[in-house]
Amino acid sequence: MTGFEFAADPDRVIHEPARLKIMSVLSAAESADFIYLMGETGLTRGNLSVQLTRLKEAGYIKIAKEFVGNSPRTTASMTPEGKKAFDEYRTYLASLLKATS
Amino acid sequence: MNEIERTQQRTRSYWFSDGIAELVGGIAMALVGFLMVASERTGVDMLATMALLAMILLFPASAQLVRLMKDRITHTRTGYVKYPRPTMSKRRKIIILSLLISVASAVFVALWGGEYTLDGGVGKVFFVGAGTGMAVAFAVRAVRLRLPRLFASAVVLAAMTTASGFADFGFVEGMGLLLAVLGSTSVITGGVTLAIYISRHPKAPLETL
Repeated sequence: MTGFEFAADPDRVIHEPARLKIMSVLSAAESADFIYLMGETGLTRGNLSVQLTRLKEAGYIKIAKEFVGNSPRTTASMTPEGKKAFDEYRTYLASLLKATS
Repeated sequence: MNEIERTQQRTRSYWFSDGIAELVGGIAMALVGFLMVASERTGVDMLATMALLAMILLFPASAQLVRLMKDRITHTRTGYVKYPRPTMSKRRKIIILSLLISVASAVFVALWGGEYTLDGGVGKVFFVGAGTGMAVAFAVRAVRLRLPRLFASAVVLAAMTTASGFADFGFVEGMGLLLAVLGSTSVITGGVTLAIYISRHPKAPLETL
């Protein structure tokens, strides 16, 4: 026991602030659309799209496209793997705080 | 509360950010309430039938109207959030808790109400219990969602329940009055919230695939 177990690498996919914000939103909802995520994260369309793709590639979120009337709607939702990774990341943050306070 | 929890909290209370549910639900409640009071006051049977019909038809219709208005107003401005359906165990807990508070309040009024319960008979005990239960439910929701305006409904309901307990109301008239006042309060808070929401959020450009 070194007492520095918290120093084990955090999940780099979630560790990035914009992606952490996206995961925080999706952890509180079944799904959220592109406009809502843009408003919450403050990211531009292009940047949000990149971050969502990164999370999708990691298997943490699913992206669905649908039409509401004539308007397209892109929604993102968290996968079970994403939920597990998010919970583990929060546990990591808590242990980090505990070890450094 | 840290930034992750604040984000989750904002997302959970997003449903209430536009005031549409309160506005539409408030109109339905106020209408049913006024019809119940009017039917008792005037003794016109037709009004009682209308109140019953309004209760059966308006509440499901208002849910549809809320969805439609949110699609037109909210989702195009600040986006769409879908919430997980509450689990049966969670629903059961909420229903049981509300019933317990209502029954406890009714029993308290019946046993220790003294003069308070003399007018209106047993009916009063029920609507005082129901009013207290609803007020507590609103207060709990206000705390959980951190929405101070829901406290306004809780306070108005509690005050009206207490005040109407001293008057000569039966169950139908008492419940009607509570629904009318709660509905009117919701229309005001919901209407003001919607006006502020629309002024703060211009319509966003349509998403392109």
